[in-house]
Amino acid sequence: MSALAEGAAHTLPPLSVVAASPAPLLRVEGLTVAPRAAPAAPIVADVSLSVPAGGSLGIVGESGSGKSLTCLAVMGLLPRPLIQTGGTVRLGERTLTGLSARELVAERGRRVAIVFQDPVASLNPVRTVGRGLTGLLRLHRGLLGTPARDVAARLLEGVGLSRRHLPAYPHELSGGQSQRVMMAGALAGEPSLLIADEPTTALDVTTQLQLLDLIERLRAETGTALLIVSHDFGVIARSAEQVAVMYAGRVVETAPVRALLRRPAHPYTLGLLASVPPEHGRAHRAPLPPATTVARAGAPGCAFAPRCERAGEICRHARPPLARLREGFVACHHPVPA
Amino acid sequence: MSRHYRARGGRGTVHAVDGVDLSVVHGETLGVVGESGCGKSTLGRVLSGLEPPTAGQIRYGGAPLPGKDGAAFRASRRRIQYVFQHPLLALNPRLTVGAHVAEMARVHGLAASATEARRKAAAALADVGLDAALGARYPHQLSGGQRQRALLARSLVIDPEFVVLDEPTSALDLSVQAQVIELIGRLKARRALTVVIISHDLRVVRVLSDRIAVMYLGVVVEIGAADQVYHAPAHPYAVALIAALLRLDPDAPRVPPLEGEPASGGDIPPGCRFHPRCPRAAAPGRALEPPLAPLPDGRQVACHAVAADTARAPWPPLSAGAAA
Repeated sequence: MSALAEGAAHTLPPLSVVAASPAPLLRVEGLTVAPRAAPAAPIVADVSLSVPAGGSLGIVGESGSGKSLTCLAVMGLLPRPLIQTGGTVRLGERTLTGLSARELVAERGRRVAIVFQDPVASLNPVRTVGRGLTGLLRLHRGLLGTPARDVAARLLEGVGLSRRHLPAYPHELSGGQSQRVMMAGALAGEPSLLIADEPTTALDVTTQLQLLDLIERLRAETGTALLIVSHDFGVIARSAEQVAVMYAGRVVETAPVRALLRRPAHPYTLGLLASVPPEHGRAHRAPLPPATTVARAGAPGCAFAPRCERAGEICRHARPPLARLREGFVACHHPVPA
Repeated sequence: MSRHYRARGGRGTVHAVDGVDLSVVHGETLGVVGESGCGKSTLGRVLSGLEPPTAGQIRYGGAPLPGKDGAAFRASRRRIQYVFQHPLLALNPRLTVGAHVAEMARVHGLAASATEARRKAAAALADVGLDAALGARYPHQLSGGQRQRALLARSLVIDPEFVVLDEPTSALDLSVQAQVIELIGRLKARRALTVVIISHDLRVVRVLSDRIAVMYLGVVVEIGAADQVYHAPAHPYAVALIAALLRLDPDAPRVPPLEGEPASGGDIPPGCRFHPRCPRAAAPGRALEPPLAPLPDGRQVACHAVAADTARAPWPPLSAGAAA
């Protein structure tokens, strides 16, 4: 039986599997993002994801795959030249898509907060840590004066820093400390969803481990759900229950983390996993050939086909839908056998 | 060998590299790993002669490495090449990569004519897997992986004996990193190069190196065969560094992270530099800096606790994992 027929027979809205939990906290459906100047040439296309309350989803992909833009679109923070041209983002009962800037500000921070890759660029250099945190506490929780300072100190203690850091300026902090301050700020509004976009990429490995442990501990304490974006499967394996793999602006595979790491179904996922340098033996042949052209979400056929050794004729003209396979969903005409 | 810098503003001294003894054997690949600020890039620049050591000396093929001025230095560039960390900064933005590589051949007197230089450049670019058409492009028109290849071609066009690669794969996507690793592995095998690879990425270093040196705050704390250091590290810092690597398995055993952060090169703890963060630190570590001492299995480790283990127990207590 051809893989296509098998896939097509079971095509379901991808949400039904990603949202294994009955009450998804975040639901992204058909999200499409394009340049304002070229709305017909999307760079994120038809992305559907969901994160259950208290759960975790990892998005993995290489640069340009659209993983960070997906997060920014969820937050309503797309840069000016880009626009969401389709799909909806819902957080709990509330639809975020279409909210005014003012309404979004109220949602952001309080219900959903984001931590970026570069903490140094994300912190205001002329504000002390204490002023930054008390500002957020006033905005999100209406706290002022001494109560705000006390809560700010407690937030710092929660991320492994202390009251002593309140008067510090960002340049006086190390990269790991800055990322902890970012985390304290993100948690100031007690959000139900934390989005972390490459939160440890700029950190050394021992500091990275400290921060991932911190995220894990805070989630266990507060029940905050997590949407984590990374190019590093190790980070995803450590912190996410579900994974979505993105390529050229689309989700090409999504599955529970163990299934995805042990039995990847999309040839791209397989190649990416095999690209991690092995722990035994010498350098070997790179599993994925270089991309010869920039893969585009809007192109006909499968965007990965030019680099795919499993690609056949159909892959070049028919885009594979995200269809149920084994424990997950895969967008591939010729998925990797189990 | 040491390399110190005056701290910014002239206050104090930064000990970037502080008394490192090591040798690189002809034809081998030595990997140097450590976290930011450990001095690995400084070590690479001094090893390749781009910066003079503050103390100590570097001998290359029996003779001291020449200082940065004069004909002797220029001649040494023919044999020793340092490949910079940021291809976009290291490549000339106003030259096509083909012209840049050709210029390198001309400067070193390896091409009598412009035509010959171009021919050599095309061959070098082909050698690193860059299509001739890409030679006509400017650095900003290339992808990250292509720039890294162009930078390698620029150094390899003069056929050096010794190459220092500083973070050759950082900032590259995983699939591109795998391509660059494949390329470096292939070039090493074909050209009998002696290579020093500097990287914060232990997996990359292990897969390409014969030996690995682990640095912490300006000193080498462990050096030995790559698989030995990676799979059965002895120094407590090396142990923590390797334990912090994230496995591609959600069920991998969790290890508690190393606490704290390294001090800076301007404020080095007395005694063993690692002792404030070390789970095995005891009184002697606070007073005396441990020397890099050989273990019976051939590697060298700078740690009082490891030295005590070795003296006390019949060898080999530590290599149990290495044998596996």
